[in-house]
Amino acid sequence: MDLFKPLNPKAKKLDEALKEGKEKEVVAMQSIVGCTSTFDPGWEVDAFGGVTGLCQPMESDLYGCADPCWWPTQVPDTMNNPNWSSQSPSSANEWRKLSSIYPSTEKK
Amino acid sequence: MKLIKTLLPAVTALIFTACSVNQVDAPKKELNTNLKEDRDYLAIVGRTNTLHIIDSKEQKVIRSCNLKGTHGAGAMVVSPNGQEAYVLQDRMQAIYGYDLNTCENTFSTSLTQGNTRGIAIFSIAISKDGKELYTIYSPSQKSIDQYKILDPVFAVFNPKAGLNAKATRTFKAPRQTTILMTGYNGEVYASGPDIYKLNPKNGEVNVAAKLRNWTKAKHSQPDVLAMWPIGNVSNEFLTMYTAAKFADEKQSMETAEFVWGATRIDLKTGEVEQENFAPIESIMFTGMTHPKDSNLLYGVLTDLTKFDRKNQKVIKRVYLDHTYYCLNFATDGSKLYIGGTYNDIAIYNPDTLDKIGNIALPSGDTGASTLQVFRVSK
Repeated sequence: MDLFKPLNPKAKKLDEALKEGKEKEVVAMQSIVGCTSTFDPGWEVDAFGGVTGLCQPMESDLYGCADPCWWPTQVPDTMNNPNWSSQSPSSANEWRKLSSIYPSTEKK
Repeated sequence: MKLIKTLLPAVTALIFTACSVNQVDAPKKELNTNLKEDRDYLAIVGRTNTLHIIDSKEQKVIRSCNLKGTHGAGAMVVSPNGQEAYVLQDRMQAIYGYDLNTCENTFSTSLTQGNTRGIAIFSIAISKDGKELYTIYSPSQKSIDQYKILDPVFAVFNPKAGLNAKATRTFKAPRQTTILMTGYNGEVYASGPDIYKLNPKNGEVNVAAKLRNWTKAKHSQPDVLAMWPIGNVSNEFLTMYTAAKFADEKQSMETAEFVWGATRIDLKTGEVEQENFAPIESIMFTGMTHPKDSNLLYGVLTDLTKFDRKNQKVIKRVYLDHTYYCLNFATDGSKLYIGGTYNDIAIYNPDTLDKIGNIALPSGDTGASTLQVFRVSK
């Protein structure tokens, strides 16, 4: 894990757990079920190393990712941020009205 | 929700003052017109929290019900008589029922109680006689300093219990399950690490088909994406898997082939089939077999592909105007519908895969919503 650098709060917690010897308490599920820690890459590349397997166009995949809390890093999840897309019922036409979500970080 | 997850470790303009349910974007003359018995209807949830009912004969939206509560992810089932729809809402923490003729909210139950949050991931089903509604939800007790994960709950409801309904029975359920389907034998099938068969009378859980725990020779563990409770038209509970097929016992990824397969449970007989059906050439999110020929499997995402299961061959593949997540069939198998992501439903000829129509929905993405096809009976 020394080669990995945590970039988001969930990854940081996982990193902390490893350092504290509590990794067994933080286990990525093999069967992915909503708002989980996944290690899949983002919307940048498909399983074949290209982009043709990705959803077309990219924004068609937006709410399919956000609503079931699938892709919590790249898009805010609707489960925990229900209003982030309230002004954008159409991802293709109203994506400019999507709001930004910022994590509530704990000061240590 | 991206393709890669399958490959890597995967609800009026007229306001009903009595029930506070609105209907939008539908002609007023049809507001009190009952659905007809001589045709198929399609149903799908779209933003913003609206249930669209589509007349397959007219190929147009005839009714759009503004739903109670808040949006979920659009998981939805229709009662066997085609009179009600049940939708997983409130961020997948509640189930609401609606009369499809009037849009009236006829049922509700919250899976979250007090500081215990219950979430059902696409988990909703109704029995074949329409007398019981099922879900499996995961409760988390939220305390000041910790979350306590409680046992998943298999809950049984009476769909006629009205608003704020309480479960008639609850049982401990397996973890990490998503969609449910009901068999004619009364069993409830659940997709999870394995496919489980739950007895809703006593809560007994059996494995109907192994997945994570399978011992399929020269195969890796499979990955499964199961978010759309479709299959009723073909009387099947079908989930597709991807796996590596190794050349030999060394299980080298260097020489492995990557395959698509399907676990299919016949909802009438309970028969289970689990076989590969094609090499992985593209990604699919949903698949169904033809209502009149279970050897023909159709899958969809960015392309629509027709497979010969027995001979493990691609019969035809066509590329789509945009990605669609969810397919379904006309009840006579004459048309193939694809929906999800944006706000339209495309219609294809299942024989030729020629596009034969497109139904525009009112503005608002359908996202990961279930596309259901149903008929009405009394």
